[in-house]
Amino acid sequence: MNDIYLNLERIPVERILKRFIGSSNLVFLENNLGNRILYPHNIPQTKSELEFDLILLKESIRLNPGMYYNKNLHKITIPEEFLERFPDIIQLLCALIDSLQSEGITTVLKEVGDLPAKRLGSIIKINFPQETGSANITVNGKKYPIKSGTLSVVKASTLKFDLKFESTSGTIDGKLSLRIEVDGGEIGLIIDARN
Amino acid sequence: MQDLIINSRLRVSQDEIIHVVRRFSASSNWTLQAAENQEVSPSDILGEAEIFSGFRTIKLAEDLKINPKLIQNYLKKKLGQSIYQGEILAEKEGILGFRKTLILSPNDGVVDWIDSEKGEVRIKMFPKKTKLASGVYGVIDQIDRQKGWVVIRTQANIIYGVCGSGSVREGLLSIMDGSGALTSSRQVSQKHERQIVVSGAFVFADALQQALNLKIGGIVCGGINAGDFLKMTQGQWNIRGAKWFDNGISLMVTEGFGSNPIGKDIFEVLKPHHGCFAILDGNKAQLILPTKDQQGMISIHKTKLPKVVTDKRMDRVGIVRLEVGMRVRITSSPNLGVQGEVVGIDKTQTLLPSGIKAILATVECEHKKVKIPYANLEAI
Repeated sequence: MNDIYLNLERIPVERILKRFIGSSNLVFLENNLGNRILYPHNIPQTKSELEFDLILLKESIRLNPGMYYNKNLHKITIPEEFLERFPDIIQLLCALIDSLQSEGITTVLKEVGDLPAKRLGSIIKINFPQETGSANITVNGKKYPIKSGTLSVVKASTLKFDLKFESTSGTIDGKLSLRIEVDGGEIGLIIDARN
Repeated sequence: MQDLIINSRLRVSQDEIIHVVRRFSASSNWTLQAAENQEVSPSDILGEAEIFSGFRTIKLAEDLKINPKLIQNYLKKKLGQSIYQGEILAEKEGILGFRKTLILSPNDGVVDWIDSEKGEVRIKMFPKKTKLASGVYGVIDQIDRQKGWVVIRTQANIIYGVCGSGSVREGLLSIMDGSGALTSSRQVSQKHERQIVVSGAFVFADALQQALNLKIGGIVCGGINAGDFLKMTQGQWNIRGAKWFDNGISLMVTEGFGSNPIGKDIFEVLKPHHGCFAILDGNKAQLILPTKDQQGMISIHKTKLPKVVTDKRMDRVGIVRLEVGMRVRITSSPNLGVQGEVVGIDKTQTLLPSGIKAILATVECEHKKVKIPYANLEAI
């Protein structure tokens, strides 16, 4: 069976210690990491094991960003195994966003075996220079107010949809306003206004 | 239902005909007493070697409380002269009622260097004569005089661990306690010197240090703390054995990190070899247990092996289709390493507390039945 994570051996345990809230016991975490390297095919059974795996996923992606993120084409491709392993797709996407540090508008695709990748939606990264700030996003004529520091999901299951962005403080790709056609799908639109 | 694929792991290989390499120290002068195609038994001597034993430096000026430049006046031996353990090396007469001070040689050797600046004398110890026994029943297939190798075709059981560290070390196998024992420094003693010790489910860091101090050849355990393992491998996991490490002791872990009893499949093979010759290759995570039975010579004679002795670690993990009746081991906590038989495979997925949906298999272990995601199993 294939290893779901790449380069687990290169993840420093201190990085896991910083992120894992389930335990602050270094010995426990080191042993867990070691056993995950030995048995990467294991399925997490408890919530705590899943949390640990999510951290491993983030670190693994951070070490191999090019495997999942094409910066030039603004595309993130999620392997099918990730979706099977992490049932909360929003949690999974947050892990990908945090590790890949995508900017602007990024299309999210799902790998489906040998078939063409399936569009899941888009990630919109809004940068606020200060902790407070707001923006408006209009999707297919419906307006959504966005506050700085939040992460929102907007349903948009059509293949393409019109997006209008307006703000006095936040920017997308350095622009205070924008009108663009973006990809939709099963997830829709993920608006990341976290700082 | 679709095929459920799981990993399979080679853990024990029984009655294998293999090559073992018996080595003389590369730097030693050795005399061969064996020949290619010769049949050998464990006590047969393959050769004798004179092994350089090192130097011993004695701080004469400091011990005699004299000026370093004057040590020649107190020495009883000249440069190049032989001296034996307990013989007087230097002497200082007593004055005004003070007693005479004698410095005795701590070893047999030759006075090799006199340093009048530091007031030290160095003794080069006599080389030690060492005999190399075959250790196994077999046939000598190859002798490499340059490398100091004697390659013997023999029959052996081989145990494969999941990870390890340290070069090839050999010695008598000593099983300390049960497969689930926890080993601290109190259990490790001088009697284990140069032995391969089977320590049970877990070996504490102090036991490892003690083992190193007492010159124990190697340790086989079910589990170890990952932090202690990483100290032995310069901070690298090296799970696939791609790198070579040695820090004076060899180690093989059979199950995983943390406390994990040695699996029944391995422990049952180890038990009959208690007190017998064994070869542990920590870096390859492999323990060779040569046959104790002279009857093995029949198979050894019948089997031919390629001449080239490979030093590569073989791949031990493959994939198989999960089936009812299959022997498996659990690879996830809290039952890591527990073995049993698959007695059932669910037809539908179950929602786990983690939120993941997975097909579960029912495994009948020695004391309990466990339902577990099939992916958390390995065929053995």
